[in-house]
Amino acid sequence: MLATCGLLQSEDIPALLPGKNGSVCVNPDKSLIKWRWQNLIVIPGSATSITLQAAGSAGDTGTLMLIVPDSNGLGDFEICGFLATSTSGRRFTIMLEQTDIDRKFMNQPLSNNLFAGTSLLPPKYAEPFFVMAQTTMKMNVKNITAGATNTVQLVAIGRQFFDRGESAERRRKLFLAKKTTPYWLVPDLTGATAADANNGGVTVAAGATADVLATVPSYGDLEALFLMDDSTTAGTLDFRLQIIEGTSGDSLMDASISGRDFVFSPTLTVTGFPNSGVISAASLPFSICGWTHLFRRSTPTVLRVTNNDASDLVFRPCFGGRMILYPEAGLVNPLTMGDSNSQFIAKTYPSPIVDYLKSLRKECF
Amino acid sequence: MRWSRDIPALVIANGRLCRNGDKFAQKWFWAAAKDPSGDFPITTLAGGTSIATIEIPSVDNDRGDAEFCYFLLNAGGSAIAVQPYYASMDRKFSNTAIDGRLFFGRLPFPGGFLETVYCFPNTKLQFLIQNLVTTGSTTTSIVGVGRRFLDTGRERITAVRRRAAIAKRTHLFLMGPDTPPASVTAAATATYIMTVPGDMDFQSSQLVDATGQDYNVRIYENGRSNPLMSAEISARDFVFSANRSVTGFPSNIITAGQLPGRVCNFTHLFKRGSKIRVEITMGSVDAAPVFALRGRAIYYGATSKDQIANAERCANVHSVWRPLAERAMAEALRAPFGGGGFEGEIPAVGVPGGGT
Repeated sequence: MLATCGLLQSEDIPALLPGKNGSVCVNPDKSLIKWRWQNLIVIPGSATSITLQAAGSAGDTGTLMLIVPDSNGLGDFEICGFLATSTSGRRFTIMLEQTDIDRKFMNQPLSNNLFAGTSLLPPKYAEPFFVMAQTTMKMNVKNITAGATNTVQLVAIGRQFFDRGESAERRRKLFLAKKTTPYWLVPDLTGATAADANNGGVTVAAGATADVLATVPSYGDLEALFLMDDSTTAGTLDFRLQIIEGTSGDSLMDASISGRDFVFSPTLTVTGFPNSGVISAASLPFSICGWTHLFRRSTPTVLRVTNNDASDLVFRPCFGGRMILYPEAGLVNPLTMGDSNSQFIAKTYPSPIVDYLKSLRKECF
Repeated sequence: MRWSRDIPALVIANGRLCRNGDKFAQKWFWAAAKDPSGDFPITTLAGGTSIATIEIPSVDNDRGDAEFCYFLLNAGGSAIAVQPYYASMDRKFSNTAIDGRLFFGRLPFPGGFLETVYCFPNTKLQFLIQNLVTTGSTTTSIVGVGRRFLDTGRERITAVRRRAAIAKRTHLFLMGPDTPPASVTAAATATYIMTVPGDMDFQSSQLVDATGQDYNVRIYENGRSNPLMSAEISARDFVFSANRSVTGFPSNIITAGQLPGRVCNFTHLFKRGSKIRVEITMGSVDAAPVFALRGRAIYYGATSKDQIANAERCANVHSVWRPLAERAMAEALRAPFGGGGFEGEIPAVGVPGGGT
């Protein structure tokens, strides 16, 4: 399915190559990549988990960092998935950025259930993340559980490169020149009530209909592969949904259909063979449709929700896919340095990574 | 699963990677199957039948043809059987009414189809619904998930695509027992026949089940002569996943019908008019087996001229573009399945009209 969705998955280095006289031999380059699991750590310090206070309390937010070292031969890190744990399945939101190169991966904080899966069913992303050695990713997390603390930790999984020199530079240039990133489009929470900010979603009152907007940022088009949801309610999650493209008024649904039954599925607990486990929405079959949908930049999409429950609905959907960037239009130049995170890197690492990035910038843009 | 080609979001132009403007020529599409009065969902009386229709509107707001990659069902836990039918091209998608759990699926596990279903504007895709519950009515929601094309200013591309869709000799097909199975006593053996229609071969990718009980199964092609299994084997353990209980929201039973993929990396071709014999030895509990073969029909086209003429009228293929459309048709006949598939698999379709 991946291939038919036109995704740009990185190619693996083949383990076998054709040899002379029709023989097959082991590819020595294969040893230039290794599997890698890496904890995100709490800054300052090096703790691998962080306890967030109850939503709405002081200390309900925190920052985790993925720091890619440049030692013992370790080099660039390509991430195919993030795995997360939290206290007793409590929810938290994630806002992931790669500030060194000004890449954002979601427009608003995203529920952990939509971002990270489990080791049994890891999340599926439209594209891998790429983090150069000596650079970082920053993840802001926020507890959205009322009245309870939440201890969370995240692990990035992928592959790390051991090559140096020309091949490493070529890979970095390709990455920096790439006009796409993984991306999640979340309903706008700008100006949301404090209650909504604390529960990471938009509250739709019992029996009410609301138009919830999700606006594609100005710096790119979103090629969406899936629509997922992590809504909650005290009732039966009986709500109907219609998706309308903001500028054209085109409805993507010819009727208001049940979000619970037909659009996506929130967290499911699956028992029985082959393994007990939790299927999170993030790990569901990759594309909701055989084809992708392009949402235009700066365009709002209306998610018209009718809550048929007798209880309020906290609506937490997202479109997932990849952003096709327009560096020349609205996106801060990817290699602009000088923000706090870059300063952190510059101070932490004595190597001239900043100068190196700037030199690549001239070639790539 | 083999989807029709997506329109790529990125293309290379003048050596640079660019966003493809044509990508906006398709949009996601969820379509509800409604009753004649436009109600959705629809109600079917106990033991009764009803017709749910997905109506592809006339070209509205630039939107034209629709293509569905799967269909989803919510019958509120009640058992229903369906027989889909696309009148405009006279395409039946099953030989008999198929248990809804085998045909559809529910997210996160929609039914896995070998083919998409292509529909023209101003046409209807119908689902004959049989309510298998004898007490109480059933509320049924059927939703098609796919894409619609925006065709204004793209007459040439539209004509080629439509003509290729018309020319394609294959389509989604499910094969169920000729006679609906009754309850089989524990440890007893029952025999079922599936007859491949005379105007098509049936290429099957998957045996799917929703019985909810274990039983042993043995399948023969050509009546009894060619067993596909060397011995009776456990359906639950070896052929398909009989059922998995799913707790939590939305409570549901995931049946094998909802699992994606196929039972084997290879498909099997049942010849037209042949009989598939299925012997079932029930396990320790009395149960009526619920099973079907999922795959695609390969038509031999005894009525293809009529079908094509009718479809051409529906699709309104403009004569100006006929040469291009003819070429598309020829290509569609040469490679009717598009890309995908498993390396090394023997293709089921070769030359047009070939094989017996």
